[in-house]
Amino acid sequence: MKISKMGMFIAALLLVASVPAAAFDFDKLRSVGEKLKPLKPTSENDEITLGKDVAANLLGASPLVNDPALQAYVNKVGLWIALHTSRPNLPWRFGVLDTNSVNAFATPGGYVFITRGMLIRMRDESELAGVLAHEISHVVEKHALNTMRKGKLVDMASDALSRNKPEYAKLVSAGTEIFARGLDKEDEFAADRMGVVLAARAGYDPYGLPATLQTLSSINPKDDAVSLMFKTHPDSEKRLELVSNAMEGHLDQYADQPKVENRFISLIKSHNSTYKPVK
Amino acid sequence: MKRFNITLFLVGLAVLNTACAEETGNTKKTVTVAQNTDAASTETITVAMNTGTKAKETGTTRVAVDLMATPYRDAKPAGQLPSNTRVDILERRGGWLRISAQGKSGWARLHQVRAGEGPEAKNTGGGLTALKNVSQTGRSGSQGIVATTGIRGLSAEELRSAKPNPKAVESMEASRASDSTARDFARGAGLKEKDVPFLSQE
Repeated sequence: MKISKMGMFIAALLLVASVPAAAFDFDKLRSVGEKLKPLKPTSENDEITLGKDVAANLLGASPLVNDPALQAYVNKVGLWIALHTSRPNLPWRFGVLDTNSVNAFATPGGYVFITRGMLIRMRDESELAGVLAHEISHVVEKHALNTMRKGKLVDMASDALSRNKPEYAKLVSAGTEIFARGLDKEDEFAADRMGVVLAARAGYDPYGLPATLQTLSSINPKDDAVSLMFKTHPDSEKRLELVSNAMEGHLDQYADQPKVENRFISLIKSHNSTYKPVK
Repeated sequence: MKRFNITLFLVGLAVLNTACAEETGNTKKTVTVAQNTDAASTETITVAMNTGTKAKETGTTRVAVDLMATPYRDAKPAGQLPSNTRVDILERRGGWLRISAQGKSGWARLHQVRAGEGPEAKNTGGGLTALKNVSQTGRSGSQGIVATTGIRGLSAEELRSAKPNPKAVESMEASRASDSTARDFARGAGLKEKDVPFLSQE
């Protein structure tokens, strides 16, 4: 233990030494120091608790669609995808938000949401599966949690993850703030790359996510329905191009897997016929 | 040959014309559904009367496209289309779209074509895409309207000022799926699990 700490210290010194004197940067030094500080890994239970409270904030901003059949359907698609990840045993929960905005969200621990505005723009189940798979990837890879750690909340994320500490409330609002600001764009690209593989593993045509990105890139950016989504995500055209290139030669062979159009369309039709917005 | 091209062009124009008529005619109207309290931002949504037909999907090329005879990169070439060409989308297959315009038809990559008229269109967002999906998935029946009314958007400000609703989170337990339900559900649609490795970062 002592040796490894010493090793890190030497590594840090070497790193600092390699920075030219003229470009010496105290911020950089501090960030190196922060990276070296061993962080207590967040326990899965803490992660789930935090995710649940962030989900409560999200549902405070937007209600769930009042349609049990639709909610159950999205839970089945979502869980089927999640079972093909390295964290199949998280308490995965999926919900459709009653808003016209086009967006999707995930909180740590396995709460995943898609807006009705996005759902009704989709053509088939493989598109829904693709978008849920993207969100599931954020959870599996702990993108939100790591974003909190990288920021000022680094200590809090390791120590304050307990509901009865005063810092905890700040952590929950930081988790919510991520929805308003977005994740790092590299995390978004990574979730695209992982999402298409999860969809293929689950037996879907993996091009559902690219097809949705194509739809997104065709929506007028001035439309309020996409303003938050576009503000918090890299350009959809860019995402489409990157993920398509990454898929080429690797996932083409799965393109003939089912898109599951009929089940999706009849579900949406029956939802639409009884739909009443939640006030 | 020239005559043939002109004929095709005219046919193309006629098709385009029909598409425009569908767009602007009685089959569609635009209404204001929600107005944010704080800003001048107004959300509009396309409301389509159900015509009983599947709307044709159209698109616009983002770039100059080398059409392929089959949906493979090493397929035989099937002509070229300049960028910003209005095209009909005839078929979707994986990362490929079969499109036609200017008397040519062939396969283009998904990212080479924008669905609908593209962001520059005067049409409010969703436009053709929403219209198309609406006619596909949309309600028929008495009202004959595919509309979402009274729904607000979800903004950064609303997220920040939200009061937590833990009861709503608890209510999600009612619609959770079990592993075995999910498995049966997948089997019901003929989904077969595959062993697929993750993609490496380029």
